[in-house]
Amino acid sequence: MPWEFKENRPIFQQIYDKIVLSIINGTYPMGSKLPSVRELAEQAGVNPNTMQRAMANLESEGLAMTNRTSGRIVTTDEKRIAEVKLRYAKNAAREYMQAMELLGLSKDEALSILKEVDTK
Amino acid sequence: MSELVKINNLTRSFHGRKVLDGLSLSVETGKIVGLLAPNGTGKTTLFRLLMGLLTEDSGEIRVDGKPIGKETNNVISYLPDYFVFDDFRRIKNAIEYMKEYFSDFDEKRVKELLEKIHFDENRKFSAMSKGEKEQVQLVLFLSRRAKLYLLDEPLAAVDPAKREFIINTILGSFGEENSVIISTHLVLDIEKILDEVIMLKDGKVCLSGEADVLRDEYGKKLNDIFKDTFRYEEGGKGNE
Repeated sequence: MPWEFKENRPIFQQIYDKIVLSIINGTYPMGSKLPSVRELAEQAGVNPNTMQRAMANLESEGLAMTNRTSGRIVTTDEKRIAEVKLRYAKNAAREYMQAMELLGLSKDEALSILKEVDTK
Repeated sequence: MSELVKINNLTRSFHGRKVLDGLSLSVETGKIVGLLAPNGTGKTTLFRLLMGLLTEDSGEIRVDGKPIGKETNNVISYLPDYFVFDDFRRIKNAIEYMKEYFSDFDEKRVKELLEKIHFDENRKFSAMSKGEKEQVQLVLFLSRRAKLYLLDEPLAAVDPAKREFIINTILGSFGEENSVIISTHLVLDIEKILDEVIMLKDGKVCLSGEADVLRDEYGKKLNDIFKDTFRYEEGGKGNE
């Protein structure tokens, strides 16, 4: 199944986000080898150039590195992954708070709703 | 990255109407480019000029640094927007034809692809729907190992369920050493695989750029940018 994209945002960013999530949640564990650009592009149903750009982003963000012998691997820098995880968590929280604000709810009300909601 | 297609100030008229009017563009090796424009805006004319099936009134065309001729024709796989094989033929006859005419034809690949979509080589074209015929034709032309693929409306007759297969087949033929130019007005289905976009209006390029940069700049899908660009076309040519 090709990955789903919202075509109104740059596709390489959406690919980047998806791979980052897979790193954060351990689908691609620390130090593990990432599939090749060609393989991932095929999986996602996108142009390999777009996938390449997402991977380059991953490297410049310090989440992956290219190793001469074993290809591209996920970083073993636990702190870096934690930082990125926190950044994504804050973004999600910000979105939630903004939606609550639009409903006219205070921060405390928003927080108490958050505690009540069952995500299962 | 090397320049595979270079077009400079190209003009071509039909019966006094300038279909291409000072068109300039270039395509690098290793790119998938969408040539996006409504019908009747010169996309097919451009492809025919690239194949030497028409001659230009003025301007310059270079493919791989060379003027249009036998040498450039050998490295281009051109998929026209109509069916080229005789209806009384079978798929296997078309395969034989491709083998004979194109030294870069990869028979193994075409057989794998036909098997994937469950097409028996003994099927006759007369017993196929328009969409099925176009699908077979696309598979045949994408099985050439060409430097440049010119695909004229490859999705037009194919039903949406099969478009994913077509898109994957295009991606499968594409690589660092070749380029694909896809002409279409069905932008939505194809937009996620495009590196670059060229939109034509009044015989010239009216908008071009990297697909992801345009998405970022406009905050929109290419399909919506396309619609906005052609919304006020006269005579309702911009139908979808």
